[in-house]
Amino acid sequence: MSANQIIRLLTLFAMLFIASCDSESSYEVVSSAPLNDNQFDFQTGALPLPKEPANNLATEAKFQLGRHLFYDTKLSGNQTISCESCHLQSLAFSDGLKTAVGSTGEKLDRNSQTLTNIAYNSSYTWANPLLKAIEEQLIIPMFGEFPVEMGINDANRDEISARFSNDVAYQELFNLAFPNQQQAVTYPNIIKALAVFNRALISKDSDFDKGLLSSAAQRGQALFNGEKMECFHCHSGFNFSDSTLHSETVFVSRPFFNTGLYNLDDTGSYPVADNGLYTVTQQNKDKGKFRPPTLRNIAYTAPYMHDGSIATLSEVLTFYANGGRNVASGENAGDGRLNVNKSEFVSGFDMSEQERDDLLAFLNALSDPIFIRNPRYSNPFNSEAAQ
Amino acid sequence: MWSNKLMLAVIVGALTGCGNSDDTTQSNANVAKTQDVEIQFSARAGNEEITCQTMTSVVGMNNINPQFKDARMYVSEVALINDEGDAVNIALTQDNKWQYENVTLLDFETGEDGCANGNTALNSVVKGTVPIDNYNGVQFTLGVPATLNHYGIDGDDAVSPLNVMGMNWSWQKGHKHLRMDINGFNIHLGTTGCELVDANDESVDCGSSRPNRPNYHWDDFDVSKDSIVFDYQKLVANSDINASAKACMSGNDDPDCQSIFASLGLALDSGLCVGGDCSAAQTWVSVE
Repeated sequence: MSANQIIRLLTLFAMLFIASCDSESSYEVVSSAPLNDNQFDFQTGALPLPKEPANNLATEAKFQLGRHLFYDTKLSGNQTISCESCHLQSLAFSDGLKTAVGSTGEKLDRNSQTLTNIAYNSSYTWANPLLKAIEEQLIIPMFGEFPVEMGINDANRDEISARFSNDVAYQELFNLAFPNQQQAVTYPNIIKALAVFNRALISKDSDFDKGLLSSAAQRGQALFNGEKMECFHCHSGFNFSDSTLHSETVFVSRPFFNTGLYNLDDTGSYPVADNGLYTVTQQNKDKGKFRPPTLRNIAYTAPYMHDGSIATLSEVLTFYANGGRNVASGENAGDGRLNVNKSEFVSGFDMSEQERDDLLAFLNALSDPIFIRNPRYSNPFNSEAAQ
Repeated sequence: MWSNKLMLAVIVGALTGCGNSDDTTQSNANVAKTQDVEIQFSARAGNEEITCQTMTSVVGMNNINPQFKDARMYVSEVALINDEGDAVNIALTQDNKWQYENVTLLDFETGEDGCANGNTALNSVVKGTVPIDNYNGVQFTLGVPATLNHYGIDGDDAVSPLNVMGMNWSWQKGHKHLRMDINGFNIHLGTTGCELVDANDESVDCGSSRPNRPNYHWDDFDVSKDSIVFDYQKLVANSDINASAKACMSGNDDPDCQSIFASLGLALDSGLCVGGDCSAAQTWVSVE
C-alpha cells in the first residue's frame, strides 16, 4: 500500500467518523440524554436515542408487557408460535432458517431478520418505503394472510384478545402499561407494547463498540471502508446501514439497493415470489431492491439475503467480490451481475484469502455476546417459572 | 328533537318513495329538514346470492363453481342525485361498526364454511340522512377515500370498520377497497404505488399512484325500491380461473388483473376510470 493510499484511507476514516463524506453516511455519536420523557431507559450506551412515535413513548410498563407478549404463543391464532419462534435471542433475534414457516404451516418467502437495533431502521421489512415505524410493521406478522404468520384474523380476534383480558397477570400488565383505560386489552395497545419492546432491543457492546479490534479486524475495517470494496456506501454509520435514523436525525433517507442476486429478464426482475421494492412502488427501476440491513450481529444471523439464499458470511463476501451472482440454470436462471438495476457500488473486486479473513474478522467484531444473553430481553416466563 | 311519530312519518316517506317527501317538508318545515335513507346493495354470482359454500352458478372462462372465501368491499361518498342534477352526499349514521365518516363496509361473507377467516356479521346497506328533496339518481365510490385510507389496526385511528383485519392492506399501508376471494382466485382491489415523498414530515404521496377507486352513478334510481347489484359472474367473465391458484392484487402489470379491471371500468396502468367514466365502462354493477 502506497503512502498516498494510506493517507487517502486515513482521510476517509476521519471524514466518516467526524462528520460525513456524503449525505448517506453521517456518523455521529450523539451524547443524548439517557432517558426519554417517560424516564424510560433505552440503555443505548454511546448510541443515540431512538426516534419514538409521539403517541407511543416507551415506558417500563409497556416494555414489560411487550416482552411478555413477544414470548407468548397465545398471540398466534392457533397458539403454536410466538414472535420468538422466528426471532430467537440466541441468534440475535433471527431464526437460522432460510425462510420460516407460519403458524398454519404456510411457507414464508423472506428470511426472518434480526431485531438488532431495529429502533434505528428508517423503514421496515425487507423492502417497503411506506412502513416507517415498528408499529406499522407489526401489522404484517400479526394479521397478514399472504402468507399467514401469527394468524390473527376477523374470526379469532375476539377470542385471542380474551386470552389476555381473562388472565389476571396480563390484566395487571395491561393496566400498568395503559393506565386509566376502561378496557386496556386492545389490539392497538398490544401493538404499542410489542413495538416498545422491539424498539428497546439495543445492541451496543460489540468489540467494535469497545474499541477492541484485533489487528486482523482493523485491516478488515480498512477494507470495509475502502473504495475497493465499497461496503460502507450501503452499510454506513453507527448502525452499519444506510437506512438509519435516530432522535436527532434531520434528513432521513430510506434507501433500497439491488445487489445483483438475480436477473430474470431485461427489466432486472427477481423471482416472482419477491421482487423487492417494486412490489410496493410498481416501478421497474425498483425491481430487486431491498433495504440494507444492519451488519451488527451479522455473524449470528446466517443464512443471508432477503431469501436466505446464501448460507455463510464468507460466501456473501464472494458474492460481492463477484459483483453479483450468475444463476446458471433452473427457474431463476440469469446473470445477476448484469442486472440493470444493480447498485453501482456492487461492481466486484479482487479479494485475497488474507483480505477475506480480515473482513470476516471485522464483521465478527460487530457481534455482541452481551446482547444475545441480556436477561432484560429474555423470555420472562422462564424466569417466572423458576421463581 | 324528533318525535317518534315524526320519525316514523319520515321513514315511511323514505321507504314509500321520495316523491312523498315534499308533503313532509311542508307540514313540518320547521322541524323536518332531513329524511332517513337506506341504500340497499346485493352481491351475486349470476342469479344466486353469494355464499361461502360451493355455488351452483358457474364463473370464469372455464365455468367453475365458485366457493367464496371472502366478499367484502368499502363504499364511500354515497350520494343521491336530485331533480336539479346535483349530487347530495348522504350523511352516514355513525354506528361505530359498519360506517365511519363517509365510508361504509359492505360485508357479504358469513364467516362460515369457506369464509371461516371472516366474521358472521353481514351488512348490505348504507344508512344515513339527506335533506328532504326529490331524488332520482345515485352515485358512490368503491373504496376508502385517500384521507382515511391510512387508518388501520394500530394506533389511535383504529376505528371500525377501517380496522377490520381482513380488509387491511398492510403492505400498501391502506385498505383493500374490494375483496372477493374464491377457491383458486383472489381479487384484492386497492390503491397501489404510493410513495413517501417528504421523509422529514413523513408525508406519503399518493398523487402519482394508481387510486383504483371506481365511482359509479345511475340517473334512474328509486331509493324506495331499487337496489345496487354486484355480479361476480360478470366481474370475472373473461378471467381464466382454473385449478392453479391465481390472484389479482391490483398489480399494474398483472395479466390476471386485465379483464377484472376492464369489468370494473378501470384502466390497469393508471388506476383511473376508462375514458373518465367508470359507469360507462364497467360491466358488473347494475340497478334493479
